[in-house]
Amino acid sequence: MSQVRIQPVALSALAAGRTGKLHEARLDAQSVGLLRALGLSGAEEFRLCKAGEPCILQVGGTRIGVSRTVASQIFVIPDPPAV
Amino acid sequence: MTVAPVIDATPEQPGTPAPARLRALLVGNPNTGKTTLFNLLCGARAKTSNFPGTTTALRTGILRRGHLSVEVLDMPGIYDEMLDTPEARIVRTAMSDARQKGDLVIVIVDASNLSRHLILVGQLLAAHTRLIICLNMLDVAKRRGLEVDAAALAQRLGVPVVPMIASRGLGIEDLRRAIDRVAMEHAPGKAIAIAGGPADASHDVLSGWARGVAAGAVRQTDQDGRSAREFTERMDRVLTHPVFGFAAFIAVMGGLFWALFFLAKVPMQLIDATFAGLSSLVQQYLPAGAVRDLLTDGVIGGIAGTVVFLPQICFLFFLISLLEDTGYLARAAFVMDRFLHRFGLPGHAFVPLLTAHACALPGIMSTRLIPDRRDRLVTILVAPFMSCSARLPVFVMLTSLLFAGHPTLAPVAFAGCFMLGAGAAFLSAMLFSHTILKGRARPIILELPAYQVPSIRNAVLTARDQGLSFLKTAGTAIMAICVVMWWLSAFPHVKPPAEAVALRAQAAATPVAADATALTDQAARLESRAQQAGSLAGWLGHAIQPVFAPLGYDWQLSAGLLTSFLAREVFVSTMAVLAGAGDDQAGVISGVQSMRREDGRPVFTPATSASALVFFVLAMQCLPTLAVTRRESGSLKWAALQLGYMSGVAYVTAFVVYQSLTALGVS
Repeated sequence: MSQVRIQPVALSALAAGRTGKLHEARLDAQSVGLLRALGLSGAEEFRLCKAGEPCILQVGGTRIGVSRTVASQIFVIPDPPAV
Repeated sequence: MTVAPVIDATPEQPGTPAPARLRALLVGNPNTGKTTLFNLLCGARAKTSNFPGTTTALRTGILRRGHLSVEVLDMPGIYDEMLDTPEARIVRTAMSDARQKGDLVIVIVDASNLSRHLILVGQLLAAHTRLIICLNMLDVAKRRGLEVDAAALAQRLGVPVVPMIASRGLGIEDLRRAIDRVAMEHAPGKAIAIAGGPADASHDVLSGWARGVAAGAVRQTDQDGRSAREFTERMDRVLTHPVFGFAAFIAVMGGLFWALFFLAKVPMQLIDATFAGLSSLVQQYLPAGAVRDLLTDGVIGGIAGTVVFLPQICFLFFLISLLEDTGYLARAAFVMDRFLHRFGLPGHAFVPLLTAHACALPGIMSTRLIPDRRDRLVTILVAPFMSCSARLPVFVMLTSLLFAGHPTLAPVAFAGCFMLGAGAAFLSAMLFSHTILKGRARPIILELPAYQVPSIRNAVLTARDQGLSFLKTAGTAIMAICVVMWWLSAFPHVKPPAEAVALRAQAAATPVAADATALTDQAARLESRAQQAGSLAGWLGHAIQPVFAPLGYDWQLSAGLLTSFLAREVFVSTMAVLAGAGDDQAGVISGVQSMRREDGRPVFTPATSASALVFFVLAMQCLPTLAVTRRESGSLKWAALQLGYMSGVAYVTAFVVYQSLTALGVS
């Protein structure tokens, strides 16, 4: 039985309403540290509340806003879309 | 809504008399109500001072509990103790110090977002023992359908947990009692081991531990908090929208500045009138002479010149504090980020740059909102290019001279001055980003706090703190400047010109009081002009005139530039004195218009006026701004660079304008 492997995608390419987990943030160490401190990690699920400029995520009880530039450097593993 | 009493799971221990003085550090994530809690604990007894060894201003206050005096330090808000940010470094240093001295640490956490906030708690608990947790924002948690079991949390953490709604003052008395109790303990508890690991557990270990603790203390109720979430999402969609968000931004900022000028108008008039009355009183009771002149023109004039801006400063910070509390500023930062980023400025810079249009001092002070040091420095360096209210009288005078025959063009030139200043700021930011402060503005990553009703009490206390800080920094500097300028223009004493003596004699012989007054005023203006020309200030004007000759300025205009070097608004009054003009605006302009050089040509030709106007748009000409830049940047070198750069840009641009217009035959 074959298993579907979901590839990481840039956060900026994700549609609003999708959920997922962080795969990699190709940003400077301080920005990566800040995102992690705000709760965005491979262990926490996020929901994309608003796509575009800015991109707004909900992680647990935290809402995080990031510019599109930042969103294009954050790679995530999206959950399969709800059917 | 009420909150449950303090839950303390620490074992009872025999108490010993508490020390007379205890230090408590207030720590927490940003946007958790830390400032609100600090204000509840210390209220009006708070003061702002630098954290030892740094230039970061911290608020400290005293909480009195019977014979116990607790010094409370409001630490900068941090998300993670281990982040490489100035704020986190300060907290790390303070925590290390607190550990050695046995200080109390009060950690404020957001009950609606417990697992994230417990990460910081875990870091502090791993190394610190004397700790109280304030479980704040229980009302927000309830709206989100969350119920937090404070007893379970206290049991798990082994420290007192105080349930609170700080915005409504609920739970504050319980916190005070918890402080008393912890202060009485002579043997602090032991640091906890996170997941059995070392004290410096990794973020992932801490995160897992925090999730586990939160899961044992938080329960989702039937109310799922969907309506609150939907409201936030709708608001965010509008306020960060490229078009609607920008329109909302213009409306909010327009409203803020309208309110600022509207609210500040009456207190400013009252301050003006009070100091004018005080000056008259001194003139009435002191004999004429140097002491009276020093008091009226130097000391009272100097203080009045600064204090008159105090209402604007206080109202500005009051309104910004209200806006910040609502959660709007984080959204506005995103609206402006796209535009400012092109010039190497972060979205956070919009508040300081906008504020600098009122006065550069609060503008520079509000750069504390910018998290990155490079971004903060670029903003500080360019903020004084924004046309502040002190430039307005100079703009009015010079545009009136420049377009004397074309009154409709004066407002266009006026608007052009604002645009030139803003353009210079943005281009300079771009230049700095490619040279001395290389790099791009940090891409914006911000927590978007929950929308909430702002706290008037917080806003009042913020306005008071900032007002006092402004008076302390700018008041002392500008008063000293005024005293020095008075001395330079008052000495050596010059004999009254023969024409003035004759006018006074004529006034004495005139039976009609109104005519006598007019003659006396005319004589006074001539004496004043002679005094300026013969004084040290006049001598300095002649001495520096060769420097400004390429810009088309004679000794009088050079003296005006010199006196206004420390405060640009002084330029108009200096020119009025040198011209022997009247006090009203029309009198000043016609008087200045009729000023002549030693060869008989007018002082203000169109080319000279345009050159001077450009110079004043771009030049620093404000010593208090330099003092604030030095304080906020933490180094004299940035203040010196700002002065040198702005003066250089102003000189070169004014030179180009004058020489170009002269070459085109406009002179």
